[in-house]
Amino acid sequence: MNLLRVELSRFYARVLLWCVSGGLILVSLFVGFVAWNSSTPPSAAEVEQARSYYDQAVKDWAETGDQQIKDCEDSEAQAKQDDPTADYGCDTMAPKLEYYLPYTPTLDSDGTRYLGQTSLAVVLAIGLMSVSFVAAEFSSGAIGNWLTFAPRRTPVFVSKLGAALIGSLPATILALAVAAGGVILAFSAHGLLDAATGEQWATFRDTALRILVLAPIAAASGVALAFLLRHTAAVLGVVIGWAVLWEGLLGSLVQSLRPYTIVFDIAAWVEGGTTYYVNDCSVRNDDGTFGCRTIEHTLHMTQAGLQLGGLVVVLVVVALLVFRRRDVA
Amino acid sequence: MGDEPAIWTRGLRKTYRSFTMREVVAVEGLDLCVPAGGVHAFLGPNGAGKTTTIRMLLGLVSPDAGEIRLLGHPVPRGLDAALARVGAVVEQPTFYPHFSGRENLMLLAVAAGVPATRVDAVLDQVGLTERGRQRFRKYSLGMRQRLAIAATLLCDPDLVILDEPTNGLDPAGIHDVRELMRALADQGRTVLVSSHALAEVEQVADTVSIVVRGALVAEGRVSDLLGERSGTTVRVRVDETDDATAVLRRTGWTVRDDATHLVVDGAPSAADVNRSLASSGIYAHELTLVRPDLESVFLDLTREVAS
Repeated sequence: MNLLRVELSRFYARVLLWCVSGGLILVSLFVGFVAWNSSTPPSAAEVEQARSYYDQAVKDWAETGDQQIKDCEDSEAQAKQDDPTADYGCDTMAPKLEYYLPYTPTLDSDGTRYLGQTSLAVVLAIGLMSVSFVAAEFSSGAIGNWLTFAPRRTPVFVSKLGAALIGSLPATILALAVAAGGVILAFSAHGLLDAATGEQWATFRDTALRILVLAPIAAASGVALAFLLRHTAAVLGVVIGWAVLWEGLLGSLVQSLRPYTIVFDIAAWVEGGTTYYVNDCSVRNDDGTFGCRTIEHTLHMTQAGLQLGGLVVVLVVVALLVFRRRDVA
Repeated sequence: MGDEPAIWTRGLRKTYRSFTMREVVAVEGLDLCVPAGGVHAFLGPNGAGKTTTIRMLLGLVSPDAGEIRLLGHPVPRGLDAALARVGAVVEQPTFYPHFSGRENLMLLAVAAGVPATRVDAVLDQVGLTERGRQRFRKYSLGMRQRLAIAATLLCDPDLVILDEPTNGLDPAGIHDVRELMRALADQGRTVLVSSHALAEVEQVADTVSIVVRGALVAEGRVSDLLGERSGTTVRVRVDETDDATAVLRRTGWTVRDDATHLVVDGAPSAADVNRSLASSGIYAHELTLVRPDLESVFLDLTREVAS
């Protein structure tokens, strides 16, 4: 506990921590700002214009509606020869007023989406704090002096990891509180919470909690990478290289790899699961040629969470083993 | 501590790989024996392997081969027990810049389970009481050195390891560190000091180890080491330089003229030189016996190894 106390003191004494925390709060404020702008109800002029578009559509529908439905049903029948489940929605083609009115955001769908925008910022901010916290000791040589006072390396490793895990929580909680508070304030001010159900509130709360869980994951990854690479610049280089090659290039070229990209896993974790599409070009057409079809896949929240957690555990274990054996200059 | 040496190594070896994967030998079969009690100087030119050796002693670096015993404990197996009785600062003193000197020591004290009163005591011991609340980043190099020495004393150690402790200190600071090392040794502790300031070390060290290219080239009491190398050299100032040179060379001694004096090597004593000159009617204005110092011994040894 003594080591943890000391490491926490050091963690909170770092100027970078306060700067990054400030940046994170700014991102959260921006999320609130976006939520406010996007949830502003339509003006009377916008509603009036939507009504006029709707009236015109009803008039057109009276003249051409039957033909449009017939064309739709013909196309649907054609499609059903290949795919019996094809549904072109021909019975819902008649114009409705809500199609023309500006979209009304909901707490569970849009509120959580705004909140989710903080997730990547949380990961990057907490990761940077943790990396620099450990790497600074290696690059300055302070770790050498420290190990002459606390020579057992496993407790030293654990105390630094613990300090990053615990120390990064207040900034994350504050950032999430600001972002969630901003979204709730915006929705409340625009009268969107009146219709919010208990289920919607639960979805919103669960999203916030899942973002909170990302903080220790990012902190542990940052600490592990810093123990392995020893310099903040080296860690940034590796992270940027990974982001460009794996997350960017491979993730977009080989779509089946998307569930194994960190950014996608984070999205799936925060959103409670997400979908991705893979082209299957092994479909043989009637004329013997090959065609493609797009298959929808789902990356479940649990799988995403296990992948993220597994990666962190591997990183931490490898970092500990390396730190226990490696020379400290 | 009995007869157990404070530091003992046998066949210590450490190599590094360069960027081109070339093997660089930092320490090559080092046999070191630092007796318990007193000040022991650990000398060597840059790159001789002093700091690597100290790092191996402290468990920061693993040796490729060899054995280490620190205060009787095998390293690394008994490192915990050994380091509880060791105070050490390796190379540049590095502390946390945003904390004051006192706060930095408090962190170390908390980690080591040392009472807070000890922090004030060691700050006082190194003369930093008044500047203890100043942030470390505002410290001069000399103040940083003092704080590093204070850190080594926190745990009331039996063995103090100081790596270049007088770097950046003014003459008064150097004197203080010398006094402190002497005082620690007089209290029965062992002080291992690695330094380039040979004149300073000579004034305070009881024993010495000299390493060159990672290997030990000399070890023992400073007085013995100087005695071994004391071929008599005498500096003479006379008016009749040419005649005196001829007389002295006739007796088989080596003579050279350094512009102001004749430097005579190989004479049994200064009295013999004086007698020889006087018997030829040459009288010296000045006759000085030149004693070897640690610096000349060190330079001789390192030159010998280099050649």
